Amino acid sequence: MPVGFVTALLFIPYVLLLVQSFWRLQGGAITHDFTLDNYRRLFGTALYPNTILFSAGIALRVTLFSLLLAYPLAYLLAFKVKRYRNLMYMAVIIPLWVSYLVRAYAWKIILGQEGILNGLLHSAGLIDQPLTFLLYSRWAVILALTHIYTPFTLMPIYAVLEAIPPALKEASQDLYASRWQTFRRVVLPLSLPGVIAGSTFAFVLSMGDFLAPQLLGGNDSALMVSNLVWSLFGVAYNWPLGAAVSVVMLVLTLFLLSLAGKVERAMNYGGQAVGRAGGRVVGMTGDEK
Amino acid sequence: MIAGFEQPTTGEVLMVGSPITGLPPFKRDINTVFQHYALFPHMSVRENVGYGLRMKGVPRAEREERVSQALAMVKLDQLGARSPRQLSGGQQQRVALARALINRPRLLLLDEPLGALDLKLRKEMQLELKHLQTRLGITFVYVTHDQEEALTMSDRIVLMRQGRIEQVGTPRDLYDRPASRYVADFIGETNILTGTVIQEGPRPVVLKAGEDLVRGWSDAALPVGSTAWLSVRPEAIQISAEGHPATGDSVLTGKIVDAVYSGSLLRVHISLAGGQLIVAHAPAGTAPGIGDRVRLSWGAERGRCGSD
Repeated sequence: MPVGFVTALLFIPYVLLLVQSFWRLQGGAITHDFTLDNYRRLFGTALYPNTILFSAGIALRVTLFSLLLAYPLAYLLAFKVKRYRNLMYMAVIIPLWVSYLVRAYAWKIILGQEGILNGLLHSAGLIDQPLTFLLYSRWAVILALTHIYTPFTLMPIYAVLEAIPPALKEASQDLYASRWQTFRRVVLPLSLPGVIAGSTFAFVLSMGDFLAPQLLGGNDSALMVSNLVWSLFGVAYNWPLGAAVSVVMLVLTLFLLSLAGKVERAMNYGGQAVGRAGGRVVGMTGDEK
Repeated sequence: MIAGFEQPTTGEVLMVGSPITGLPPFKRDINTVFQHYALFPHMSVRENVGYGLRMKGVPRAEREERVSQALAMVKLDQLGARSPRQLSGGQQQRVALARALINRPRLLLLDEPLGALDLKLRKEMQLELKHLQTRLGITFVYVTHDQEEALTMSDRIVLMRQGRIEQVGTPRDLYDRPASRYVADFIGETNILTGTVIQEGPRPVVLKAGEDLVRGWSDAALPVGSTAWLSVRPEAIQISAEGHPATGDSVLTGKIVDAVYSGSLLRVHISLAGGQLIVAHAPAGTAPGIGDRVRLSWGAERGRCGSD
């Protein structure tokens, strides 16, 4: 009974969203007759697909930078650091306890015209005028999102790396592989499920992010899909179109998650099922009947 | 230390006379069969077996041929395309063996390779490994905690205890002439009696254990009055009814407390006057009565004495 209750509460909003996306706006009021106009307009106007693509581009870069930061760190934590491993792991995780909003604001303080970075550069004598391009650009958004989602990327990678039996690395070295070859042929392939889980996290979360573009994106923020939806629901008062954009994003995200889940399962060797984060999210929608 | 994963704090490791102490594993002419096989789960059986050759830069054509040969050697020619986890424990074991032997090392290190297999399969693999070793002529260093396995498979056993060598010798040496109480107790089943030396050699040495006199041989000099141990194997002990003349040089009396049937023989547990339990073997057909008082005897040459 409670399960049904929770399921209903989880699904009713989605149903409402879906229904809303088939209604239309007429003379400033939402009328409840069925139409595909919203979807026609969505795919017929360059603005909407472009926004989704732009968001995906931002998300892709965030994912890439997060991976570049998280993989080496996870590798160090899993294999090189012995004594301070837990301490270092906590140092990575603790920022997650700080409100996301606070962290986004922190970047505002660092990058702003009167910000810490400009202050430092100025007192170092490197600049006369504060740099204005730091804040309110897509790069500020990418920087903040990378900072925020790197721990999410790190956790599944660390988990798979730690689960690799040391004997496999020894076996590789015993069979004449150098340290680099051992990494390239054994450690890296075995850690791919974690990489995929981590990338999925970073990509999906940053693609749908709203706050960072809103606070740090300036004019570029209008190009992110969540902010578009926000203005459609808000200023434009076009709920049906906003709902349609949301539905398209939802379908895209679910598709990505299930794809990642499939790839991960295909790469799950033996008992080392660890970085299943992406798959689990998908599993939830199916399993709770 | 043999494979190169750990470095000795002192001393040197020599292989065929030359030091290999500082060499990393990938520069040693040694391959290893790991305890849990450590097969690469993301590679097929063929890729696993060919890994070492690939890392050495052996051209593909030669590699493929040698992989096929190696798989044929361990009778897995049909399973090359499978992934390791689709194989049984015994088959995985063979893959690990092929993966190590394909590189034709000068020395093969086997770290408890059969530990995860069931008894029947283990016996089979033991024989197979022994035949393989004879055929290839490669030195096998075989690490095991199973003393029976050590006896079955070895030409020479090094019995180690907490990092120190207790005895080096043939299986027969270790079984028949244990150098210490630990070796006697560890290799095979034995009964150990402790007593005072009352007659020093020439052989046999006579010990007074409790009220009884027992005899055994010793390689070391045991002065009269010192404390010594005597080890006698269960199969060396004759059981006879009390009153009958004893056949051996050493005679003990005791009471049968238990008789355990184990297929080919009967393991009889006898409690001595001092409370110590002695195990002796009797033919499976006999039926000793529990509670009967019996004599235990053995020839002095079947007892081993020492002082440690």
